[in-house]
Amino acid sequence: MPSPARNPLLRFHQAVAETLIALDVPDASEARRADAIEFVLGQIAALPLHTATGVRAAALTLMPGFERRDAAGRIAAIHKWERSKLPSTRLYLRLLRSLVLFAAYDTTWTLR
Amino acid sequence: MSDERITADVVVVGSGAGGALTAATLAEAGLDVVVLEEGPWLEADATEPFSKAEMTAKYRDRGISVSLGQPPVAYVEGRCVGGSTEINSGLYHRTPPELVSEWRRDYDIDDFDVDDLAVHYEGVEKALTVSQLPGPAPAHSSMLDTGGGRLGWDVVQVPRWMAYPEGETSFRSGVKQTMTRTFIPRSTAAGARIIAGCRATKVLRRGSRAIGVACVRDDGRRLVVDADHVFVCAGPIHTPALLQRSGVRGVGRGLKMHVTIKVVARFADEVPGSDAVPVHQVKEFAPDLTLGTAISLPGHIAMTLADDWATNGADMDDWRRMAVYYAAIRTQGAGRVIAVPGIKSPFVTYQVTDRDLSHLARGALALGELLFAAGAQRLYPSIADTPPIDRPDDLVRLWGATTRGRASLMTIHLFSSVRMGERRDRTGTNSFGQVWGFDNLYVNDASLIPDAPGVNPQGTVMAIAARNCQRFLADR
Repeated sequence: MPSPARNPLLRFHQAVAETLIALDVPDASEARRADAIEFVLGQIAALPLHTATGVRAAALTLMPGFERRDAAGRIAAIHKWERSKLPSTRLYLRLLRSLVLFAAYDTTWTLR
Repeated sequence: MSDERITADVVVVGSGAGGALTAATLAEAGLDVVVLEEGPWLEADATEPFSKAEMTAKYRDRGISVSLGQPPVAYVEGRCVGGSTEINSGLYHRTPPELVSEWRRDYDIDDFDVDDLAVHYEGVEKALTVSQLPGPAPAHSSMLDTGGGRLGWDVVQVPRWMAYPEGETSFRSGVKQTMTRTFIPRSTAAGARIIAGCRATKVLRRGSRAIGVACVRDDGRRLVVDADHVFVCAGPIHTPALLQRSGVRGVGRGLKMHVTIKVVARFADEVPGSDAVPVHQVKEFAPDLTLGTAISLPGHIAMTLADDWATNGADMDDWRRMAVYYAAIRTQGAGRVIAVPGIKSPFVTYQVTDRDLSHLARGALALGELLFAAGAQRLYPSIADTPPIDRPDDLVRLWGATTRGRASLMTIHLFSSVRMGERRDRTGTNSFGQVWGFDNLYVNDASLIPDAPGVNPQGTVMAIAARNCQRFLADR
């Protein structure tokens, strides 16, 4: 899997995933957060081309300035995307949120 | 460096329900069989069922496959030795008789009726020890029985292909009879060679004869399997894609799915056993609409609540009182598989029609009615901007909410991308899976099923595959 440090797009996905887990599962431990983010990035890296193209296109429109925002600013951006009229924005957020939640509530963290 | 070459009587591409049965049947008949499987060869219990680890290890695209269209439909397929049998719920049905008759008529399928198929169903059922639960069902599954009973609806307990130890009554005691536990060992015992981590790239041909399959191993080495007969059993997406890449025309159109919408229900008390596979289905509206219980691990509940997490998320603390349910429809709409030169994954499109959306809304509404009758206190539909529903009277909101832009749709059942039958204008193979225009190239998987069967399809896939193998051996 490419390193987010060298790939602005992956760094953006990582920043969104970090924001989502802080927002959606605020009591998650560091290990649980790290596991969820690693899962999200692994899933995105494995996307088939036509899905990856759509995800990339949506992310490119949302990227500008996101990483420079503080935590509250990122959360505000997420809430704005939730209400977006652009289907691609909502689908992008839905995908990342589903992955974050699926990983964060995996049986590793909930049934053991 | 020259390609590695091996020879066989038969090469089978894919090792799922269709491919594994084909390999075992032909190897046991004395043929030298090679099976090519793109995914890894993992033990059936290598990962926890329905977990993140399983999704990563055994699913194609790590579980994120989506058809293009509005709305998009998420789908999953297995990508490992044993194919989707390694990751599904193991529910078993015979094909509804009325659909068998309809398909025979519409596609002019020879020797295809309930009696023709019966012997093949019986063989599959015996091989996979298809059976009912030995004791009570898990609570989230029984909720359908409770709600359906109160409404006077037809609810059935669906058998599974499971082996239960003698005397056990727990629903947790069974062992799922996946292909890696059944037909794959039978294949290898009869001499078949299984080559995992090896992706078929093209069926090699000379005129109207297939002469083998070209493939690439995970480490990049190329392999050619020269064979007298080629069976493509790579599933409804990758079978037509491989055929298209090999120059076969007229395949990949007419893809069908059971498109599904989900609803999480929260009950007054904990729902013990919701990590187990549910077995009840509501057949009141079958085969066009089926209601059922889905896998309800916490991760699945959270994913279903994700459509409106800002509203629903706080309730996730109550996940032990929740379970996931679904309404699945046979669609009017259809899709297409398109292999694009130079791109590994084919494009998949699916057109959900307005009638389909209306049908899904009706399904979600019926599901809600049933769940309230079963004692649910709150429902969370997988529809964006739709607050939880606390009263039966509010279910009517689902009519307006089930739209292209808001409903989250998915499927685990795909079929019909290379139909069988004698109507050449509507099919990709003859009545027994032989690809039109070829003497020795066959399809033997869910691609052949003429339309959505309205039930979990593995029984249909395997009965048709067994039937076609019998015909192939008889014709040799």
